[in-house]
Amino acid sequence: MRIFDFINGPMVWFSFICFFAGTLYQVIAFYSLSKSRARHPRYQQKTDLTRKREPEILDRNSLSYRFAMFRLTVFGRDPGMMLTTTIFHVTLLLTPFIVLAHNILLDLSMGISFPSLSEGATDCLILVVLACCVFFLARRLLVPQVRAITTPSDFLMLLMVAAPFLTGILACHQIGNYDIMISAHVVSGEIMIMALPFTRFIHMIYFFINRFILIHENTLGKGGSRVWR
Amino acid sequence: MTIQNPPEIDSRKIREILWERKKEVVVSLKSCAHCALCADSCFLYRCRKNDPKYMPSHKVINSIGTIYKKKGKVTRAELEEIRDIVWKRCVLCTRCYCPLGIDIPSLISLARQICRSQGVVHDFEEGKIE
Ligand code: HEM
Ligand code: SF4
Ligand code: SF4
Repeated sequence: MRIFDFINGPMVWFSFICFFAGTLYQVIAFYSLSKSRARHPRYQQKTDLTRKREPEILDRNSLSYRFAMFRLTVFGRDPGMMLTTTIFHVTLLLTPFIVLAHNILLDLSMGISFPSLSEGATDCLILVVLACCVFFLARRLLVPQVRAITTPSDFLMLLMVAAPFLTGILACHQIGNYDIMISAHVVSGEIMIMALPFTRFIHMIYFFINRFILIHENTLGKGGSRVWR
Repeated sequence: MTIQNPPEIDSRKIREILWERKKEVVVSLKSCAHCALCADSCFLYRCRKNDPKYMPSHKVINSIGTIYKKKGKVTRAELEEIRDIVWKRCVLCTRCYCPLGIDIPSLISLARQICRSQGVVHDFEEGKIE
């Protein structure tokens, strides 16, 4: 079958090139549209030793104080969502690399491979990703706050993530027509890889730019070094 | 006394302001996962009994998001609605927290700038007792 050869051959290369070129483009675009700026030094309390210290009302090192502060973070306010999204993103990024079949294909074509887990373990990881997708879907439909900002593209995004995992596990266990399943798996995987730097998945790149490079209220690390324009 | 008709909305001017910061607006709107995790960080949202209309992302999507989607071709009525969002539902306290690092106050202030350029501004005398 010609079309099958195409999606298993040149199309794979094309989607990876698309991904790397797109990512490079986004990073270059960011650097050319932003300018470097020094961050204002963060406020630091000077310890003036000559002044008599006032008694501390709050013990900022105590466990209870730290716990109270932790409860104010997004992990403390919405632990279910944060736990799910952490597990989701880790398994999502990890699983494709440790699937045995992927590593065999990699070894055959390029002579490299990553460590693989047993088939049962990979099945579990795939089911975790799918379960997280179901959780996000349920949250979208049931939580009024999330529903208020949901657009059709959010459902498409979830579908695009779930499709390669679902078709992959079905093909692996020969459920349904194998040829159709494996083609659907390859195509949906390729579509997702190509879409990463251009669609809503752009958050994969911009998470790091927003949180570590741009200067704003919530910058992590050293506090950022660039601003827009 | 004659009541002057308000001038037409100058969508070219709006586009000019918007285009200067196009990439910032586009990637912010695009990378927002619509996850509502920012909701709890806005004190106004919590004062208003968790009304979704006060969520930071809701305010961004319905102000600068609308203006961008219409490429600046908004009517005066729409712009007045946006004015009420960006002045009455947000005080630009910069305390909102988005895990993806979207700079919400910066986008809201851009929407305010666009409203101001069309003379659509918050009436600070509103409700004042004469
Ligand atoms: C390594 C970089 C990445 C980081 C730091 C990151 C971070 C985030 C964060 C903070 C959220 C918002 C919280 C949430 O809704 O779960 C989110 C949402 C999401 N991410 Fe990522 N992400 C990354 C990569 C990816 C990739 C590669 C994909 C898919 C191919 C993806 C798919 C999604 C989806 C579908 C959502 C929305 C979940 C929902 O419907 O609420 N992410 N991501
Ligand atoms: S602004 Fe940030 S926290 Fe709020 S919905 Fe968008 S991605 Fe989520
Ligand atoms: S800047 Fe606006 S949206 Fe953000 S926390 Fe303050 S009032 Fe809420």
